[in-house]
Amino acid sequence: MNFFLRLKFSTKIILGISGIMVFTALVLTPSVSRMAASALIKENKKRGVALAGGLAVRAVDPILTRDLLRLRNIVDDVQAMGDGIVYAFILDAKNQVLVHTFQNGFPIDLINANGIEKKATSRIQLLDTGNEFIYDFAAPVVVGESQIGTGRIGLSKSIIQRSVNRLILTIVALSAGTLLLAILLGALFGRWVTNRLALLKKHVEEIVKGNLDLQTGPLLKHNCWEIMHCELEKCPAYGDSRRRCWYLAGTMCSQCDHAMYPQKLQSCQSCPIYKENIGDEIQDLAETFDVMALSLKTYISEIRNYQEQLIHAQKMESIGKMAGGVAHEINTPLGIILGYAQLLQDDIDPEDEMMEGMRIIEKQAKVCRKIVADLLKFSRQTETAKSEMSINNSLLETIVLVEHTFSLNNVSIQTDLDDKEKYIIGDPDKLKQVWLNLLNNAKDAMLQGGVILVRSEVDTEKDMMVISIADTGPGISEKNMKKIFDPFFTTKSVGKGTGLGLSVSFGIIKDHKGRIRAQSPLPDDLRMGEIIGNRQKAPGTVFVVEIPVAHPVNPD
Amino acid sequence: MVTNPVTSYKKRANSSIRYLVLICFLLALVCTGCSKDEPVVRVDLTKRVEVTPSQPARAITYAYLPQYSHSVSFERHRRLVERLAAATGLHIRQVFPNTFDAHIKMVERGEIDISFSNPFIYIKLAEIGATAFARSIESTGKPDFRGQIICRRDNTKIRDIQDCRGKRWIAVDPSSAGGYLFALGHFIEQGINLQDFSEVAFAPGPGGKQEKVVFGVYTGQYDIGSIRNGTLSILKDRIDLSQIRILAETRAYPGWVYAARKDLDPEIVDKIAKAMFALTMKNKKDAVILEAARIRGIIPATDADYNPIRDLADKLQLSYYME
Repeated sequence: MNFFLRLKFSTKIILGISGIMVFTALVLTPSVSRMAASALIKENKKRGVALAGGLAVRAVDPILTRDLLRLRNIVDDVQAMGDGIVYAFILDAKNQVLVHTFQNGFPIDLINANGIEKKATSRIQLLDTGNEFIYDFAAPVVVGESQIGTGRIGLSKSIIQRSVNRLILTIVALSAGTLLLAILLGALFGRWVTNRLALLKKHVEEIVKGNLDLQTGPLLKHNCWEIMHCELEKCPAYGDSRRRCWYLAGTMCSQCDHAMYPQKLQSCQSCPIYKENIGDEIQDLAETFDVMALSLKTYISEIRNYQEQLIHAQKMESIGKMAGGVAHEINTPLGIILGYAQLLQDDIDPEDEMMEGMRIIEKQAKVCRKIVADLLKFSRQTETAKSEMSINNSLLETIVLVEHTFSLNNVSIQTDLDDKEKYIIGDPDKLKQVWLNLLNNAKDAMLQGGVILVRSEVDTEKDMMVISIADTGPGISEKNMKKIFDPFFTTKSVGKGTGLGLSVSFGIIKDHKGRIRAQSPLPDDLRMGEIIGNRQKAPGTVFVVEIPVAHPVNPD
Repeated sequence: MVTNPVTSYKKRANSSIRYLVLICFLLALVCTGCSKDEPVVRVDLTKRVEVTPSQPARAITYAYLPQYSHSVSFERHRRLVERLAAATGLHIRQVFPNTFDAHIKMVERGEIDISFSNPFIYIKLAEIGATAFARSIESTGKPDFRGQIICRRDNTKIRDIQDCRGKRWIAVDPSSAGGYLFALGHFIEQGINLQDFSEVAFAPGPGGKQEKVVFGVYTGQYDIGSIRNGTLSILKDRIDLSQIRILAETRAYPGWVYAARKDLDPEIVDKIAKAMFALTMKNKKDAVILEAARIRGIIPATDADYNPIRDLADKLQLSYYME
């Protein structure tokens, strides 16, 4: 048994098929041969009975007229009828031989070897002549109720046996041929199955190694959109020749169930695509592997994303804490430096050269204080005064502040504010600072001028207010995108910015339990084109801020 | 792990039983279709003898004019021949001439001792020395029979025999006595010759020719038909006989006749004749014999009884009645 378990699967298939065939051949060949032989012998017996009967019927008139020549012709005719007829003869009512087909006398033993009973229509007797076996057929020559003679025919059993042997040989040859064919087909079938299993195994190994881009299932010969003459390019199955459509959720055929696989299969039973592309269990398995690999790939990419976000959040948290601590420690000595600088100015003659130095100290100390204040804001170590407020109002107030200045730099601001906005809990001043930061960044990005779009929307599903501030500037490179919220990161020239604006905004939004993210180039669904027309030539950047509404509708 | 020896033994036993059942099943399958041994008779084909069919023993030969196949002739007269042999103590056997001509020749050569023939053949046999000694009673119950000329009852153009001129005539067969020759004789007696009919047709064979004549007239295919008497009664259940009119009947002629060949011992003839005359339909056993021979009895006859046949043959210029 262990030996059998150790064999290759293809060998097992071949052995199984061969075993079944050998078993069938061994069991059926002898019995079928015997049955066929028996049927053949029966047929020959029937033939013999028919020949003897015919002989008897034809012999009636010549016996009555004692026309021996005609009788002789009749027995000669019968003997000439075919292979295997050893003799034919006719007896009269007194069992005297009238005519026979033997040469050199009549074998007298034959007369009584097969005595037919009265009123019987025929009798068959197997004779052993020492050299061979002969079936002797006797048929009475009858007129009305009188038997006026007997017709007798001898059929060689050896010749019948020869036909039987030929038949058996044919059956055995056919069995052997079938066996060989079965082994050959079994080998092909086994190889086909094992090749597919081997491919599965190889791909699973690849998956284990982390390669999720392999295709295990065969490419579809007839794709669903070809079968259905479909042009719905948005359908997830459109253009996907790797996976059969019932593995995909959200397919857009009218008869498709919107449930996921395998619940979806219910609606597929009568679908022409399903009927065309349904495979066997191994194909199902291969495609399930493909689906699994693809799902794994998606999940892994999501997990990586979350991981990055977590790492980023943790980094910001650490930087915030450190910056807050440093700022808090620096704040006191800085206050003293600034106080003394101002005090000393009172004691110094304004015309004195030292006065200029003291002013520079004061100015730079103020710059430092602002930096420290920003750092404290970023690390949320400043006080906040939150209340229920309108985002739209907050945005409009900020826009009014900067609109004029921006227009001088050839930058226009367009608004697309949601009338059905919902109030949020927030600190109006700090949020204005966020908007101001984002608007300034946008303006600074567009040195040649451009358009800023400010949009507010309610995301009813998430219970969030979504604020997008988009520009038509040169965009942010992928490399920089990861660092834009880091403190002190700036692409502006030295002295133009501290690199704390976005960090502070990030801290403020986080304090509002919201999220801020940037995207560049602009996504299609922002519908910028509708608003800013063809002026959008550069990739542009959009900052999206999400802040929870004050009174969420959804329980989660 | 400790194995319970009892459980292990049971397992082994169960497994053995399973194998045994499987082997029995296979044997049963393999044995399907096994044939039983047939009984064999041992014969020695080397013991040869020259066989010459012995000539039949000398016997009185009896022949029925071969108007049917030999087997029909044999079967019809077998019982009668057996009875005659038993009653006379003579050895009598049937012989089977192949043709009417052969029948006459065999009588002439002395190969047929007792001939049972129709009257036309008899007048020929009489010419070669045979003598009538008995005749059969017909199925009508009479020893003689007639021809009948029939037409449709509603055929107003045919009122008597003379109206048959120019008409279409269907007869049984050119060699049929009652169905043609008797009627032809009757027409000639009435001065009507064959040429006087617009058409003379014969019923297509084989079998049921008398009936076909009646149907030919009944359906209007022919104007007149000739049949032997007794035919209409056979058809009474199949056609409406009221539609058929018997226009004329020929005179009666004697029926089938038993003749002894020339030079047959009169004593033998007498013995046989007596045995024949003794047969009666009243006796059940005799009735079986007579019915098989399709006759109702046998009565004495003389050559003179057949003079009307001779007259008719002369009138019709028949050499003799041939097949």
